[in-house]
Amino acid sequence: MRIHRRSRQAFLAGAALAATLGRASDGDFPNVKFSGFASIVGGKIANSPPLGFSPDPGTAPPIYIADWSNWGVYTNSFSFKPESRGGVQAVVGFTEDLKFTGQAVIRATDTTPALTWAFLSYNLSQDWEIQLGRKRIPLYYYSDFQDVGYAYPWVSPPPEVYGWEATNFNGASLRHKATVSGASVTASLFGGKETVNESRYMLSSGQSKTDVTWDHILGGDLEINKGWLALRGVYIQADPKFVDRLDASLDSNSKMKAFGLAANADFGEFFILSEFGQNTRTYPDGTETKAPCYTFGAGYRLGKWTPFLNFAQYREITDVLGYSPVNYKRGALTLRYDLSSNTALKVQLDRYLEFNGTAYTTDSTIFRVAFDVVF
Amino acid sequence: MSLRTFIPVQTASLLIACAAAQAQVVVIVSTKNPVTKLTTEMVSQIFLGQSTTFYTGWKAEPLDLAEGSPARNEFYAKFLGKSAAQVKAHWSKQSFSGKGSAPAVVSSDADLIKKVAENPKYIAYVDKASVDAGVKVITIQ
Repeated sequence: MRIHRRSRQAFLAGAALAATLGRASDGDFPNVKFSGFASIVGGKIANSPPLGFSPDPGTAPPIYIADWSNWGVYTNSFSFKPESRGGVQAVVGFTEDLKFTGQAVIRATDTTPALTWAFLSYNLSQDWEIQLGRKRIPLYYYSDFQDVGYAYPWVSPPPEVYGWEATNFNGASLRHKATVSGASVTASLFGGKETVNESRYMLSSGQSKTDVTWDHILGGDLEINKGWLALRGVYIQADPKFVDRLDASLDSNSKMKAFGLAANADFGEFFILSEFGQNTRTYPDGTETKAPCYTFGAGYRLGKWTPFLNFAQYREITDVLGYSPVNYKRGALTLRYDLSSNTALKVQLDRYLEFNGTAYTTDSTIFRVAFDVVF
Repeated sequence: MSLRTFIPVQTASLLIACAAAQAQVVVIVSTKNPVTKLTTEMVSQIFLGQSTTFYTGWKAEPLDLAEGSPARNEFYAKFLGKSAAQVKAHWSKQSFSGKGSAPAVVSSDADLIKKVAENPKYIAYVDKASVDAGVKVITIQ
């Protein structure tokens, strides 16, 4: 993914505004806070027989797709490339109520820095906030911080749920916070557009020169936190459009509707993370593909150690003629060790099972190690 | 004569020993703040950034002691049931998704008490022994 021209302009505009307001303000403002995160992840598929077909010339199948959006794929050879990444963030506070947040992420799969966040936020009141600029698409529970390995127990969020063509958008969102019956409730509405040039996601279809647009993104989410329980629901719709620069016959248009429900329970030592979602694409001829997905995991904190067991599934139901719907499941065991208050080590073993797969994936066992840091 | 004098000497010294072993961390606000009682859930929501107001509707802003300080670890363990790593993971989630940042850190008890005393929006925790004029201890239910 490349930095989009529009995003860069938003970032520069924000920085210029920071400089201007910086001279005008006094007291504690303006202030700038820098922070960052990185994950070094290495892994390989353990001993799967070679397959003949490869969707992209850079890999030798079988492959395991750990990150669809950025095409982070493991093969029979150990590699740090598929998922290693790092990001830096700057938050500029102009006044108590006006802030700019910018974040850039660099990946081993694509060393051009990608702008993940570049937005201005303004508190309209104590409970209402408006955000304008570039943000993550808050599709599922971990979407907003899926690159921050330190923040979750597994090596990376389940690709069964977290794997779509677009991860960011340019637009606006409105957020409201309230306390209802002792529970903290956050609701938001968002809308905008995203264009991904030469989408790496499309390498999964063997298309290296396809531009993906999610137009008319519109959605809302609701998150409730009380005591040990966290619940989140989301609905989002968009008009995905694929334009292939090499072969116009591969172009496609659809209407997307997606929803997700997450329920997490944290009893201190024992905790459960679960999420269910469904992404539906309706094509101009009226045909439809539905893709329900889920992840369910449970972990137990034993001091600095956190063993975590997770199951996930992605499957497709379609009436599109000639399309073979994908269906796969995965079980994973992760062991996390908190090295210090800002670093963690993880090892993860995945067993991936295919019921109807692709020509370049097969039942496999994947081994990964990760080092996560936040600063 | 009060009943207290009947407590055997051995028991009394045991009570003192227990009290000394546990750092007595208390939650404080300015004496200018009318709040006197909070539930652990309210304290938890304020310190995790899920709530930005006291139940009175006044603005609430938490302050932290330095990472690794015994009072900080004890506060999060006792009132939120969370380890330092869990709190860090929570704030990594919030800050890197543009939803807020961890409480500001004040390095000494004296500076913390001074800051809390001056502004009714602040809420903090401190070793009971450090409590001074200008701040009051909140009863946690």
